Amino acid sequence: MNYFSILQIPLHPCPDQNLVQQQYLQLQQQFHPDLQNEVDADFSANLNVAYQTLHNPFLASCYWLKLHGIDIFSESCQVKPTTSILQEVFALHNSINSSNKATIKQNLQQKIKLALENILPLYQNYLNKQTNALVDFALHLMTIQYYQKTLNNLHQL
Amino acid sequence: MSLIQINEPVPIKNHQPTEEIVVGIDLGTTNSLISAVIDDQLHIIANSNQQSIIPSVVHFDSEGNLLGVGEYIEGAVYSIVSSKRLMGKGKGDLAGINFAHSHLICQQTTAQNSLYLNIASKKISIIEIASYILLYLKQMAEEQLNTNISKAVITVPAYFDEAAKLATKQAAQLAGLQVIRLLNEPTSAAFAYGLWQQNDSQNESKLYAIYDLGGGTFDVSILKKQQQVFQVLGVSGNNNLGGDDIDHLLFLQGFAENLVVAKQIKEQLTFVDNFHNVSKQQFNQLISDFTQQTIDIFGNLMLELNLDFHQLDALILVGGSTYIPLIKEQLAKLVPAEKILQTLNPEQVVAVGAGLQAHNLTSSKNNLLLDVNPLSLGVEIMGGIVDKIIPKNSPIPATKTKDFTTYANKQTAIKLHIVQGEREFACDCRSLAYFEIKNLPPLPAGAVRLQLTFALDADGLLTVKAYEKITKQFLEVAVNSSFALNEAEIKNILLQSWQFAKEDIANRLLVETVISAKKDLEIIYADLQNSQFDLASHLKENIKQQANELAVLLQQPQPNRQRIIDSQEKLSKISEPLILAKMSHSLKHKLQDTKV
Repeated sequence: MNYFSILQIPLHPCPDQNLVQQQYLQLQQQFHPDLQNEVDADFSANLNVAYQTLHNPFLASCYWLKLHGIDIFSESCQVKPTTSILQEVFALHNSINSSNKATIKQNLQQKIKLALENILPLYQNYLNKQTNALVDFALHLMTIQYYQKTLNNLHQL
Repeated sequence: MSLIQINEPVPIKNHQPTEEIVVGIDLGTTNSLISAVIDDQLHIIANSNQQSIIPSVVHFDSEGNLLGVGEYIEGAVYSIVSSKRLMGKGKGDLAGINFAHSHLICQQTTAQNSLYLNIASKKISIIEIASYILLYLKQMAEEQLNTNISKAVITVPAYFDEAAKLATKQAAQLAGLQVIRLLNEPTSAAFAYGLWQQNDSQNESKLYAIYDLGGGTFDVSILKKQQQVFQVLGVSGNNNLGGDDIDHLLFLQGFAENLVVAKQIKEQLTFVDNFHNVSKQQFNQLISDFTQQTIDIFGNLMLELNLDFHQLDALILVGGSTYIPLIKEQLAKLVPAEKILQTLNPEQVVAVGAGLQAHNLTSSKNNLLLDVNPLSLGVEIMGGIVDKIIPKNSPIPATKTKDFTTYANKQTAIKLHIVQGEREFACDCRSLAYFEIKNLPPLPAGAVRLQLTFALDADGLLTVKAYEKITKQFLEVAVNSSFALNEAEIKNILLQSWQFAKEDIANRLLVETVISAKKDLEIIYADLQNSQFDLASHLKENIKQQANELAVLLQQPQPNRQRIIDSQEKLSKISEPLILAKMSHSLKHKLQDTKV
């Protein structure tokens, strides 16, 4: 059972968010132990975990990639970030200390939004059986991960 | 369920319950309330003085004997207020918490234990204090509803950590209440509002923010309502931020000579511009940092959830402290004033939601509340770093599994440290439990495979399971936080509390029982005299005997309530034939009058 099959939606790196929401609520109403007496309580918990991943576009893409053999959250991930990604992260960190935090936050949010939209073309490359498509996909997600981490750190400051 | 009506507190005597009543309890820092749905109507239950908002104050006399709960009682020497602020806290957690009775905190308490207060010569734990409030509410409802109460939905601040939730559950256990759900306060309030506005638009989804500023805690929660599902998207807050802190601020800055006056100043300045030589302007200036803190927490939560203020359909205000005008002014800068709702009494709305959810969980089962965990749960790994296993704002219940391994060759034991919080290092997070897995096979580093499963139930309480794949060792740990009471302590308190309960509360129940038994006797004696009821004489004799027995019990100088109840029950069983005879007589009587 993977998260897509738990929520009964098609396997896709960018699942339709309305569909994720709709399926989640419908299945919870059907299987939540608070409403039904003779149901498997674990199923409701599994639904929660599946929903938590798939209703987040970034995590959904990472999960799809994991199902295809690359787990970017694992320490032993075979794809390592490239020098150009590391350089960008380094530049980003330097700018935090020097410029306005609100502007950086806005920029980052914009960057994340754009990067999330660019997942779909990378998926198309994979479908077209382009070489290294999955590695490119992983590197792209790693970049988003760094943006997101920086943004979270900024929120906490 | 039909449209809810929130009744003003009225005694609900003569109600004949057809099924067990499950109550909702708002166990607040300043006040507590109890509610229940009866015949499809929500009632906030009042005590015999028509009071439904019960001060969360527990009174003891000079010897440390329990006098009662609520308004000041004559002879009270120790009146413990705001005990909720210390729920689930250890001695190491007291820095920065304003607590009026800090001088009573027991010196011998270790950093890793539940806190005790020195009340005269007695040592009374914070959990016990909370249990007295719950016991009072329980008995008050039993008296008003004329039935036993054993189950409750109890609300807790959304931002309560594991230790504080567990402490609440233990307090309920001590009061003889089974908690069928710990419900987050803002969720409870939203539930009340959501059902209230139910007939507006059935299928549209609505986005609510709930700003809940109580006496001791601040919560903010974002919730989506779609059809009959209430889905919490995220919560945030501060466990040590509430109206009490404003009182302490006024006191410390010299505006008030004591905390009682400080509270008065805070409350009066809602209505007047000047009180006790403090102007509204001075007051607003004094509390502006405080209110800004709450606004920042709110704003950050919206950011984390990728939401904008204009997407909100309503902002619901909960908690007595939201009466403060400055708070409304500041919130109106974020959300248009017409979307800020305070239509349901902010002091009652949490209890309303709790009572509705109690009914929903046990009988109607129409609505579904999907809540989240407020703080990340994780385990300490090498270097003191926290590996978050269940991140904050995850929908609950949730179960997650992760593999861990050893870092040294031939390491035969692993010590696990479970923590709660958002910080990177375990030492900055709340420590929940330590446990050890021993007798691992002496393998090279990294060869041992330890599978950790974190399971968070619908109350938000955690259990951890560890499974070692090679030795097939299995270990289950209920995260009995170190700040809760252990089993021996609970047993001890249970025994003591029955002795305590003889006072005040029990007395009133006794009076109630005696009156109802006397009424029963009156009717039965009269019916026995009535020759029109057709009943065999030996049956009559049995009833008479039992009735006399009860009468004797009532005449004793110190009547025993349980024996009266038992005897009363016996009597009602034995007199069934009499009641039947009475009914058939009146039926016959009626039929004779009717020409068919």
